[in-house]
Amino acid sequence: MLNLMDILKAPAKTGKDEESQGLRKRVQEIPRDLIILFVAFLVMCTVFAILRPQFLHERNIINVLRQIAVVFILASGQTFSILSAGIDLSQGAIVSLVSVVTADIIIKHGVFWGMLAGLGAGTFAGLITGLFVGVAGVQPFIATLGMIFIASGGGLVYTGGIAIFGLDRPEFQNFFFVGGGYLGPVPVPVIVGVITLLVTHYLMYRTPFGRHVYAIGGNERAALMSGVNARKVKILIYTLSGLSATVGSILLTSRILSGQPHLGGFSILMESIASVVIGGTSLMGGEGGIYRTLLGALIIGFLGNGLNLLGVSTFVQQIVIGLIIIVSVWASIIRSRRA
Amino acid sequence: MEMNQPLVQMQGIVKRFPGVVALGGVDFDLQPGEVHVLLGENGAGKSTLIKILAGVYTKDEGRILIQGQEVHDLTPRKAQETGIRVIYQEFNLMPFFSVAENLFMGREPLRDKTLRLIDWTRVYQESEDALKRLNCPISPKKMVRDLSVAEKQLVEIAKALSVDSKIIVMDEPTSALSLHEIDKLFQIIHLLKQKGVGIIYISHRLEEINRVGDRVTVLRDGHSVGTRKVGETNIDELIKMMVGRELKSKYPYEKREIPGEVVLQIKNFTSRGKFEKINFSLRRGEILGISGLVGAGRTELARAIMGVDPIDEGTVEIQGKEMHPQSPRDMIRRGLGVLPEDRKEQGITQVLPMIQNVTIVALHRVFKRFFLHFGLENKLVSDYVQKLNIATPSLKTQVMYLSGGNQQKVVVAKWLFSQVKILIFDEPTRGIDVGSKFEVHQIMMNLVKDGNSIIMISSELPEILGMSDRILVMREGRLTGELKREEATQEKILRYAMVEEVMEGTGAKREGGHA
Repeated sequence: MLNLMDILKAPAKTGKDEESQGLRKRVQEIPRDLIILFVAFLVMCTVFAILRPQFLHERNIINVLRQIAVVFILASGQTFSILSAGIDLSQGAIVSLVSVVTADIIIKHGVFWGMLAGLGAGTFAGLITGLFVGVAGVQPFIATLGMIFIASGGGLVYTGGIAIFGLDRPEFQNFFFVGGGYLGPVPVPVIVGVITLLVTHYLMYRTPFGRHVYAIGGNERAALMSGVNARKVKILIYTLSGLSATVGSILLTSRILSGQPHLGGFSILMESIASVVIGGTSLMGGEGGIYRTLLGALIIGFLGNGLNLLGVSTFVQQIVIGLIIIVSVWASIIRSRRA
Repeated sequence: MEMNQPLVQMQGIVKRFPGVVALGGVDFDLQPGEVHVLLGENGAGKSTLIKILAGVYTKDEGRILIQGQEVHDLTPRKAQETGIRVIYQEFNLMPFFSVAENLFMGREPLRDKTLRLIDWTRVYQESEDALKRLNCPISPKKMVRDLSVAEKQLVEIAKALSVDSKIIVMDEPTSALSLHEIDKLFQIIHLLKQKGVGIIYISHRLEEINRVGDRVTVLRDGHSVGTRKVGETNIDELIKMMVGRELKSKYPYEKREIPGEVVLQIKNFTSRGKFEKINFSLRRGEILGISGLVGAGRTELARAIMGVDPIDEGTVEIQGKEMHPQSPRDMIRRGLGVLPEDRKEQGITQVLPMIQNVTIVALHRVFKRFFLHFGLENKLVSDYVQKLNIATPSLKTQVMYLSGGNQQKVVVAKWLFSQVKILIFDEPTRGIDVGSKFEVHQIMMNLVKDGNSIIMISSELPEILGMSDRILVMREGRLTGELKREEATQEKILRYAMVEEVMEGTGAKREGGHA
């Protein structure tokens, strides 16, 4: 190899040593739109804090973070599918399915088996989607649209359409800890959220898998020509996305202490996709990342909370979030036109 | 020249982009009935100049006069109305509409004004007339999707004429045409000249200038280096003007002993409708050129060897192991890589950083103990950037901001990084400027001197003759000839490439190939 390099003898022109530039360079490399978005988030929080001082109360912030954690966990899986120029519409349905399976098995066989069954069911649903997308070549939109009906239908069949209660019995109190407990002042879901961030960071930036996701999203034909196993990568993407919905579902189920066949409705899916999109990850694939999604989830969470404190109805909040989605994508279009 | 009013006069055109001056005061003019060739390396400012004339960009300074009249605030629409028509490499035709519908798009004649019904009889009749005037036998009812590249180009020309364009810009019109089709295009250009149309002709193929051009203007770094009459200049002078230095030889070929051991053997390769019973071998340290007309099945063959498309029959033998190509991944593992013909579609990923484009093919080299090592990755790729002389602001620059030549070098760097030993270069220098061309050829030469082997597919005869140790010729999906470097001439290759008189369009094979 080195031998080969030696004879490719052309004078150096450019290509700087990236490492020596240090931290300042790395800060400069943060895309400007991400900085603008972050500043907008800070401004938003400041405004809320001035208008409603309780916005900054510890209890309020912890409460909001707990809500955001679940959305963020789903959105982390969603980030992979959107980065690969796909989408996962089935996350909400998987939340519902996992909720009833987990609740039912916990009551029948105990907490451990219940959570394991939930994890199995949700991940399996993701795997099936992945097989349809990766092996059969069905477009992600269609495959996951189908999975909405399959998973939510499955949940309804499983319970006969009714909710499962009885998780509030004392022998299941370990389970409540998962979604409702604290470690010190920090809610357990927030800790799970942080672990999700770390794991996603690792997969996305530190493994060949992450690079392959970006490559498939950026130019699938070129990725194939470079020997990327798109089939395997896609199966993994949708399995991960299903897994993230599953973890989110178990947290929610634990918090409400019942298995609900309608737990993951339309809104949790939309918040998952919205977090990714508001953060600026491109639906065209190949551009974006998990920290954008984190910022997107924070914006949605604290915006909803701030508007609540101001007494703005949730109906109006939906309109606001809708506008923010469109404006943020519009902003990224302007950015790419300039470039 | 003073007798006629010039069709176009561009004076002192300045265009600035953030951080760069793309054009620093360029003068350019076009006379009626003239072919004015615009030459320059990529990034010299040719397309910027054309886009200003077409109204896509607005100029920062300078004047534009069309037939003596100064025009202000050109927009694409206004440019078309004043008779300017640009035929881009990627055509502006609707693939699922018929030829006639495309010709009349946006100005359909009406049969009934109130109901706004389109007079289809007139649309088809007039389309047929327009195509006949260009001596081209395309049915106006044919869907554009089903046309060959050459035919699409003719439709674009017919469209330009049907709206009475006096000024036609052709952006590398021959880059995707076969030799036969090029002849035809030149005939049509001749026809247009007689009608008083002025043509601005952009091309990287210097050999063409003598055949079609009347005058040449060379741009370099956003400035006009000079304008010459075609009869009063030669290729060497033009190259010198373009690159600002003299290239000693056009091809860096070095004579050497070919070690001889066979590294790749293709046996009985058949893919029905594309190619049949292809047999050849590649030796260590050899550049094997594959020549032929566009549509002869060369790219299809390369794709099949690489395992992209399945074959009906045949095997590949690499270093003694015989097998059927399964997938590119499989073939890469066996030491084979391909630089595809359409770089942007299959070679690079525009939105990804240059460094990730390089390492994607062999991430295992920088994945140690469960982590990608950025330091190692940066170090390895910086080496290639230096050795291949890739001009990039940083390793993290998105590939879309690099020039064509540098993008091609990124693809080369990718395969060097993968450490494969056999490379298929499919049209390695298409759309690349003269200076980078030489560099790409130099890189190829260095690769084979180090014991790698190269299959080079090229439609440019000088490139085939200049770089190959041995030459295979394909015609209509079959190998028709093999020539040693010493015995090869343009004439011999062409004879193999078109033994029987080539039928109209040579499109038959291509349709099967790209379907």
